[in-house]
Amino acid sequence: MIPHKNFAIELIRCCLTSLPDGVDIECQNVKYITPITILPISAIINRKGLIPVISYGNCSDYLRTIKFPEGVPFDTDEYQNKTYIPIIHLTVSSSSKLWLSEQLSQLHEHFLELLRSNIIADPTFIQFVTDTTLGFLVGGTLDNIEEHANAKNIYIFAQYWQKNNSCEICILDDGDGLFGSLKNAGRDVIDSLDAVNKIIERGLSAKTGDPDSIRGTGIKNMKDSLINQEIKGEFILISGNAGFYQSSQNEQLITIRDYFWKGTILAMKINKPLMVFNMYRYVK
Amino acid sequence: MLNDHIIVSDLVHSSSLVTRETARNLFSVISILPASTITLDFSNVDYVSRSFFDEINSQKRKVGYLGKTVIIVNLKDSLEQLQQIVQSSLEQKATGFFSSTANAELVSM
Repeated sequence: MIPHKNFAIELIRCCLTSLPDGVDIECQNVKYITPITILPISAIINRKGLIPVISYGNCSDYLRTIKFPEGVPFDTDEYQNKTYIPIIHLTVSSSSKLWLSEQLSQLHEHFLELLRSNIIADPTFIQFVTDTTLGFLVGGTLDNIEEHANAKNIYIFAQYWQKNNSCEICILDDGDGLFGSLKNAGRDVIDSLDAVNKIIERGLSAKTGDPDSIRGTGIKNMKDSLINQEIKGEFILISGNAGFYQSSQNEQLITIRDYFWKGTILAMKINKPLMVFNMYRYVK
Repeated sequence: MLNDHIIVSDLVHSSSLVTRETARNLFSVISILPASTITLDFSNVDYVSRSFFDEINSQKRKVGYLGKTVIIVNLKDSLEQLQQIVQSSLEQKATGFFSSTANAELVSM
């Protein structure tokens, strides 16, 4: 389970409301960092141009290792064949859709290589989850960002835990968010919660083009690929002041008080299945 | 290179085909080719997104109006499966298959 979901939201809220001009990252009492807890903070620190001072503590070495908060470009080979995965940060420096599309394709390719080369404690993890599934989960999210987000920054970060043979991937953008994207496409939505609800429930999409485009399958397919008896994963989506969380035991639509994330945060927890996972049993 | 046989990974400079825009760009190349039959060769392509296939289907119909036929070859088995799912979901879209959030607990944090 992502037991830190509430913690993550509290942490993000805290950062958004109270980060001063300088920031000390005090790690003395922090014992557990996950992609969804650390990635939004990275984005906020970088957006505000803050220079964090990372105090020594349980997680401080780890934070330096993963290149918190600035992250690294996706197209460097320096971090391949390590036992960790650094934060990847793509700055969108062109308004060309084709440029972004090429960047995202290459980001996808490099990130999958990174997962393959750096999740090595249990070689059967990737083998059982499969490249296809990981590619599908990451690719679906990146495609949504390219298509609807108008983001200036895209972050992606993953962490693998050998202890319980699971991996969490978080992808974040600072774009229009779900409500903004749907509103821009002329969809009938009243706020972030309504947008999240309609995307999950009806597959409402911001796509334009064919009349069928009003309904998308991307998020539902990603969710279904994770929440099943084989992967037993978790899915969390945050946009604006709303969110959605689902595991095999629990499903929540979330309104977040005093907090608004301009953009979208998606986190996916993947557990190693008992045998090779066939994603196509769940994708429609 | 831009003849009737296109090595897709060479054209897009990636083994991952993620976005609709990539598919649209591919077909903007196809639409100006003189050949009436164009083969898209997916050798060395490791990943194709569902959206890319969806856009390919849509674009194939459009270039079909121009009298062009697009043939896909050398898709990995796993990608072939996804392509078939995308094809069949075009029919399912009309009937609806989305789950409900009626069971979702509404919480405020």
